[in-house]
Amino acid sequence: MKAPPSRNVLSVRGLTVSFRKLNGEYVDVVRSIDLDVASGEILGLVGESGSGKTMVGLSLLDLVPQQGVRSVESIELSGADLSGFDAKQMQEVRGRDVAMIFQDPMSSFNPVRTVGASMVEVICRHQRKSRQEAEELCVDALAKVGVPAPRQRFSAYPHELSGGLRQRVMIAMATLNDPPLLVADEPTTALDATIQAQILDLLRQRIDQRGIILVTHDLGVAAEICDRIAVMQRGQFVETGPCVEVLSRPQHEYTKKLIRSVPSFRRPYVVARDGTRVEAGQPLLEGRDLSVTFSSRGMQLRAVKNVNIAVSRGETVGLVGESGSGKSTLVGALMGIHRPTSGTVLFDGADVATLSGRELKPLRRRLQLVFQDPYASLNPRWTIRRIVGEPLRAQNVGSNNENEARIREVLSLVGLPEDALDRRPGQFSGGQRQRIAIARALILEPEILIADEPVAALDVSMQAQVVALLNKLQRNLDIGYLIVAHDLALMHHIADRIVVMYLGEIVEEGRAESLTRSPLHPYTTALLSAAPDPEPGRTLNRVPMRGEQPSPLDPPSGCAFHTRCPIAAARCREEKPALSQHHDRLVACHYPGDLRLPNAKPA
Amino acid sequence: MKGDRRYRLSPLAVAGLRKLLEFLALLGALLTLLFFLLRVTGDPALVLAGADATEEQIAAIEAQYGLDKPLIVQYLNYLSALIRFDFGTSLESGRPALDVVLEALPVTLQLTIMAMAVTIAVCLPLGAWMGIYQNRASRRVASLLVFLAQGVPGFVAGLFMIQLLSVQLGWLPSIGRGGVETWILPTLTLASFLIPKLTRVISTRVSETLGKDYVRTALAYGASPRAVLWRHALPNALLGAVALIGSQFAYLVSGSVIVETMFAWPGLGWQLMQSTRTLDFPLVQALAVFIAILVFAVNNLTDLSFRFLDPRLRDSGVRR
Repeated sequence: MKAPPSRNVLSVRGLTVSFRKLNGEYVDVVRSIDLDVASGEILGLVGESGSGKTMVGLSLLDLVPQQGVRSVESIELSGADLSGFDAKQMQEVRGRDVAMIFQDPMSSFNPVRTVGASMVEVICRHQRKSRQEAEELCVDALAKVGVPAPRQRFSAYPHELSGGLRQRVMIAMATLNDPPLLVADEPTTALDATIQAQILDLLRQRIDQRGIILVTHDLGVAAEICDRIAVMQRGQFVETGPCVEVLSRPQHEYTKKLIRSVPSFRRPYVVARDGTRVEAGQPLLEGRDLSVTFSSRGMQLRAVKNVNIAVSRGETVGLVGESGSGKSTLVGALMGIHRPTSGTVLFDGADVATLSGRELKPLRRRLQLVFQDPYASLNPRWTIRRIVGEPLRAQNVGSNNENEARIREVLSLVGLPEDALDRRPGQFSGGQRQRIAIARALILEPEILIADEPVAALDVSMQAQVVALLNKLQRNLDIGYLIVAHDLALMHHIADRIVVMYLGEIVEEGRAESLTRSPLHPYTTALLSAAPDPEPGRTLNRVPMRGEQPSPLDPPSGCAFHTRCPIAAARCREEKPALSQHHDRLVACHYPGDLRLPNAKPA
Repeated sequence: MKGDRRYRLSPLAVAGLRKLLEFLALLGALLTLLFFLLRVTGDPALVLAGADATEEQIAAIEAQYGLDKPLIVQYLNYLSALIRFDFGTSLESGRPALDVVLEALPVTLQLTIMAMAVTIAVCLPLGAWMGIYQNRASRRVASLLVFLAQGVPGFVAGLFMIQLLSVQLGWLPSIGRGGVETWILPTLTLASFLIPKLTRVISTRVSETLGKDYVRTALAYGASPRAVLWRHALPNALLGAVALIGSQFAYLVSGSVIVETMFAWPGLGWQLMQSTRTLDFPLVQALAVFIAILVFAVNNLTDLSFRFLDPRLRDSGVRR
């Protein structure tokens, strides 16, 4: 812990933001909150979607959207009161005294200008500098945030940079005018866990004497780097205090509920799995030696390489890996969406590739899919009855009366009221929509359900509800789940087996508790150490993992992970390790178990 | 599997070649269709010979132009001549069809380019203004007027202008092509075909762009509303407008048929109208070929300029 803060960078009193609804009434999305940020301090603004946390950040810059109205008693930033500033004065403040870091670094940069041009504009807006001097400052700033080859990156367009690099550029841009306050709005939400860890470390390093407000929905992220936390619910702070204090001894009921809902490795999840975990039985869905290669412009992208995977009834298999690891392609191959370049997909012993369209149809009944985004996967113009009943129509089963009864039954199974039938998706929350998507997948009574990030788009309390539903259904209907997810802590609680993929290959596979407790592959270790965890008191020693995942178009020689591996040896560069049995695990590493979790007890 | 690298063309060249082949196939289909359609609409010999011609005179004319041969032979002769870039002789004037077309081409180009310039000069500021001030009453009025204007067919607008500026006020000539004063009415009429549509598109694009995340970023870093507009919103909004302008060029060319006929401008459109009326097959066919080439060229120039203007299309998207 650092020395107690000496002075406040920011003091806000009585901040209210109201929005005008269509009927002309005003509704408060932020209600008279007070806020202090000390020099050198990171304040976490934590809350679920709709809690008003983003509006707090924007209102400091007086950038609330047009239909919103801000009222405030005082906003003191480094001694000056901003509350009475006019539009011109606020323009001077923005980017010089407060800089904002936005969530999605792709859409936040102008796509037709180089990132360098955007950065130079920020400097020249507030400082008297020649273009040459400004350019030097930018290249300096890029180097300081760890952008490799900064001078080249300076003249790159946003689409030419990876997500992690773009966010680094964004942070560099925020510090160009050396503002005393940074506001970071979900700065890592669009990034993979390992990149998220790098960006959070970077924010911590770049704080100096600044204050930082970190707006996030993720208690784990807040726990990682915040000094103090303010928990927001319906526009108000329900609890404020030092990070460790709030997380370990929450006072307010809402905080308690929120913390309980976040999965952590070091305590039970709010949704307990009853009974013992299932041992894998006779596999129902099986991929044998699957490879999927995409060709484009003469380049070969081997998205999935010689993967073996099996799911049996009643068990839950978690498939994890960074974006670009081939998870979704593998799922696509299992579903018959991508034709495997080599290898076979077996369902109940039958080779799916040899079956005709007519023979496949009954198989599709037994294998269903739930998508990540419940906002995009439901037709907004259809009623819930039509959406949920669509698979019955597609499969031509049952009479109208039978189907109506079936729809009602499935809807009550996922806990939605009967009056939902004639409504449309727009009238439901994200969690309810995902229930509808699950109901649609269940109506044909599948034996295997594949879910691609089924809870990633949901708030933690909604996540817990959907997970509880999935558990109940598995218990009652003996469904086998293949769940694609990036959240290892959640997988730790809901999966029987976990499969870890890197650059199209399985690098480790084993029973969930054992794999998360003592990972054998260094990549698994790194993923685990990068996973944010809301349980306070964790040491901040992360496994240092260099850089980003290499392009699958040009995978490294030998072990594909050697370019980022902290314990890579000469052998790893030359010789590809085979996936082989090691204790209770399958692992593809020459030195399994040599890299330990920093805070793990010796076995 | 991979081909020899030395013989590989750049992706742009491959795309260009494919486009060209597509175009040639399309042109062939168009000319075939045109050939047979024209033959079923009437006998040009009758038109040429006049109402009181004798059987012998008609037969002589048919023999002179090869119209007495079987249709399929005529078709093959026509194709083989085309490949040699021989468009034949205009039945009406007796001049080579190519000469007539090459005389008319610059006239039409001049008209469409002037009309396009007027369109852009009106639409850019008007559309941008309407896009920025979504909530002003004056914008709502302008929007309503543009909406109404879009419902008025172009030739009605042209007739209205002739009535007002030429007949009533006598300021401008309404017929023929000569000095600058004769250009004004045709240009304005042709421009009126596209102005409402383009204004609305630009207005929508500008207001959409102003809601983008990167505009918010610029604001959050202290850019003034003017800088946000000129440096961030307009360049992005105009990308979409460029695509529309290119695709609407064909529409302007078809509009020029109407406008040139109305104002007796000796361009491609006017010639097309005349030659169709007199069943002057060679001339119609030659005109069709050139109009198709013109539209194809403009569409592809737009595509190319789009590639140049939008960095996301400039390279293969390989990350640095």
